[in-house]
Formats: sequence, structure tokens, C-alpha cells
Amino acid sequence: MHAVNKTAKTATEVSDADLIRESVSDPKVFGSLFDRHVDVIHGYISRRVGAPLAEELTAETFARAFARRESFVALHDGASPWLFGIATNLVHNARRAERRQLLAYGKAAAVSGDQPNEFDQAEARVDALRAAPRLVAALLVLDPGDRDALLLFAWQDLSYKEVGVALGIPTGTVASRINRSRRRLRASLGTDAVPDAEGTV
Amino acid sequence: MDDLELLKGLPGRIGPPDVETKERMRAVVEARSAVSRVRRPRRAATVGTLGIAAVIAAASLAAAIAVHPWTVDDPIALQGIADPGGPISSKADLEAVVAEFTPAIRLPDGGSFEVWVQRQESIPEEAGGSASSMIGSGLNRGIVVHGMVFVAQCQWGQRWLDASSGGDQTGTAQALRVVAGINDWFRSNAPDDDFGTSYLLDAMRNGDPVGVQSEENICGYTGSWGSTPAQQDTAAQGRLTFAAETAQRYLRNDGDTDTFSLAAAGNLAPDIDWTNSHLQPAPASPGAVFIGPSSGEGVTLVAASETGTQFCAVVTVAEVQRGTTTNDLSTVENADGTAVNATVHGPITCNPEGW
Repeated sequence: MHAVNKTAKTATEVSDADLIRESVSDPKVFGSLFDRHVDVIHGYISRRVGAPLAEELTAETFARAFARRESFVALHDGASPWLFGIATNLVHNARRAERRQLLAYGKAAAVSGDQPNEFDQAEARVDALRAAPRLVAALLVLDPGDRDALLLFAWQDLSYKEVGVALGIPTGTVASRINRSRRRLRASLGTDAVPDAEGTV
Repeated sequence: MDDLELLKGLPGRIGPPDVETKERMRAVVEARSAVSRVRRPRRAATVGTLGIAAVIAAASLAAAIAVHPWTVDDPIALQGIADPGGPISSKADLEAVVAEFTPAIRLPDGGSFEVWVQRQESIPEEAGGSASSMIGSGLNRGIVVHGMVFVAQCQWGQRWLDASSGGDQTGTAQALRVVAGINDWFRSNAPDDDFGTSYLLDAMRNGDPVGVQSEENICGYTGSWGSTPAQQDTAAQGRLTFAAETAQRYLRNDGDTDTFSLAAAGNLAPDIDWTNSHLQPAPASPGAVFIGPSSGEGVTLVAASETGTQFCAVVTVAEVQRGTTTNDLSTVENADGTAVNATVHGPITCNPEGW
């Protein structure tokens, strides 16, 4: 992405795949892909490993995407599953950060969930805050691959097929990973297990 | 309310990054895309011991066993692992499994599993570690065998680097052949490539020493960097010397000590595993070079040896001051103990006794 050009083609009618193909000969075009997806990729990474690290890993995600753009295979109209896959691999490099981020959610929720303020009145959010410590405990003990599939599905609203593209696994495997994870989450909601500072349940 | 709804409602959802943040990210991508090579994702330096568990957990290994001595045409003679879940409860158990599988896992001439075995026998409960790597606490036969194969991969990677730098085409060809065999075996025995074997193989095939070196950076405690404390310290010092030269080159090109970031460093030397307090695992784990917080006096770099010594260098335009540090460089939390990834390290004290 030599000189990412913010004013390069940004027409939404151009597909991600077309942009990527064009960027092979005209690297500036990759800037449009960056503009399209940076918010959601940054949001995903931030939620998984925390805001301080998100900036760096988001930039890294696009840098790697640029480097690999010639090998992009347009299995989907959009490039987001591909980008999520790269981002997820980077998240793996920060597993401790992810664990601590999840623990922070549990701790924050344990406080605010008891006393929801005017901005936290939505029933779902209040319920989630109160259940957060147990959810976090369950997430922490999931196999990393299972957790990836579940969070891409639940937090990013990817379809099973898109999760499969992101993680490079068959759709059937996605289904089994998500089902297995959800069983464990549901089981955890029936316990009082709360992780301690080291994530031990 | 179902579990998915509860999960969606967990805290942490944030709005789009602000304009300044986007521009910083854009600048990094621009800088990175100006070089042809992209550094490999950083992985836990303890993958050789701890990360294996994840692979094993997901793998359904064949119960049948077919272990026979390695030959040139059959680089990895393992076809399956009998009783992969069999527990390793003692050092004797570990050594018995290593002895059982050693004939089937080819190492370069002079190679050994000794360093790795010693590490397994003394492995501490490291931050970010896993109980499944510890004797008597989840370690099993499958994990051990996969670990041994990873050791082989690391040592053959180092063999390739040595052969490549010496112009030994026979040596590079042999290493390539063996690693290709490892990759085939891994692919049929584990669903994930957590060891980066494919990346290593690609780099070897492309004749790319930078790419191979990037993979070797995660080979701590595998014996790839020497089997004696002196050899291991020398390896860490070599990494740090190269990193210090890189930092000094940056400063001499009008760079500033405050801006010698991971991105800047990675652009200049992509084969170094640069890290800082925002990255995991703990900074300065063997194989990585830690960029310390700016002290205003120079760029402070740290490289840890497998012996535990933390070598440091304070780099200015004029000089490189070498020493060691005993500062705890573990990633730390904010004062309230809840926030993550905060850069709250004070200046690193690099005792200038040289090395």
C-alpha cells in the first residue's frame, strides 16, 4: 500500500474482490479497502485484546493483508472474513492480553451490572453484565479455536460459512465448534464459578 | 435470555476509532507496505512446550503406532502415537517416551533433545503457560511427541540457516526435505499448524533466510541456539547486537528515540522478533528483542537468554552501551489491577558492565 490514498476509488459498487485485484497493479487502491473495513476490524480486535493493543494489531492486519493480496481468493463478495482471519491470527499472538481483557470485562461487569446506570438500562445489557463473570469464566477455558469461532459468530455476526473462511476450516467444523462452545457457556450459567485474577476458575 | 444474547451484551463494544487513530494506523500500513517482506505473526516463544497442548487438544490422533527408524527418504517415520493421552507423571516417564520416539524423529548431526527435555523437567508455571505442559499435570505422550517434532523442526531450521550462510546447498536441500516431511506428518496428525511449519517450508523453498530466521525466533529451549549456557548467552547477545545496530541506523537517519516503534523496527529488520510491553508473551522472552520505554537517553533494548540472563543495550547515535538488567519486564497491569496492556514500566536500568 505504497501511499494509501484516501481518495482512491471508494465507490461502494466496486466489490472488495475487485479492489484487491486492482490493488495488485495499483497499490493505492488498497486504501479503499482499508477505509471500508478498518472500523469493524479495529472494533473486533479491541474487544478481544483491548484498545491499547488494537491500534497496532489493526494496522498489522492490513499490512499483512496488503502483502498477501495477490493470494486473496474471492470465496465471498466481501473481504471481511479474510481480514477477520488475519486479525484472529494476530489475536492468538496476544493470548495473555485476551485473557486479561476478558477478565477485565468480568470485573467491570460485576460492579456495573449490580448498579446499572441510565445508559445501561437495556435488559440484555443488564443481564449480560450480571452473567459476565460466569460467561468470562467459560470463555477462558474454551479451546482457542472454539473461542475464535464463537466470538466471530456472536460478536461480529459472521455466518458459519464466513467463520469457516476466516479460520480456514470447513463449515461443519465451525458448527461443531460453536455448538460445543455454546453448550459450555450454557453449562457455566448454571454455576457460580468466577475467575480469579489469574483466570483460574 | 439465551447464551448468545448474553455474550453479545458483554462489555467491550466500542465505536469507530477516531480520525487520529485511523491516520496512525494508515501510516503504519503505508510504511509496512513499502517493504516487500512482511514479518511473520509473532507467536508465543513457549510454543515448543506450551502451545503444543492446543494442537493436541484439538487433534484426534490415531491409536495405531508405526515407529521405525528415520531414513533419508522418510524424514519423519512417525505414523501415529500409541496412547497419545497416556499421562507423563514423572521425569522417568518423560525420558522413556523421548527414548521411545527418538529413533523416529531425525535431528541434524549433533542435534539433541537434551535442552528441551531439561526444560520440560524444570518448567516453571510461567505467565500465560498451561498446566498441560507440566509433568504430572496434564502432560501426556502425545504432547511430548509433538514437542519432539517441533524440536526437530527448529534444529533443522537452524541447520538450513547455517548451511545457507555457508553456501552449503546439500545442507539446505537436506533440511528442506526433512521439514517437508514434518509438515506432511503434522498435517495428518494435527488440524492446526501452530508451529508455523508451512511458513518455514515456504521460506526454505524460496531461499529466504529472513523468513527462516523469523520462524527460528520462536525456538527457545529447543536446543537450536546451543546446548551450553555460554552458547545460549552468545545467541542472545548476537540478536541484541543486530537489534542495536538496527536502532542506531534508525537514529542516524534522523530517527528519534521516542519513535523507534515496533513498526519502525520491523521495517528495518523484519527477521528480528521485536516486542514491547503491549505484546505477549512477556517481553524479552528468549528469541525476542524488547524495545523498552523511552528514557530520553537512548533506545533501550533487551534480549533474554535461555539461561535467564537479560542482556540490554542502550543505543544512541554515538554509541551502544552494553550490559544486563534485572528489571522485571513482565507485562504489568495498571495500578487498579484490572486494566490490560498498559505501558507502565519505568525506565529500564541497564547496568553497563558490558558483555
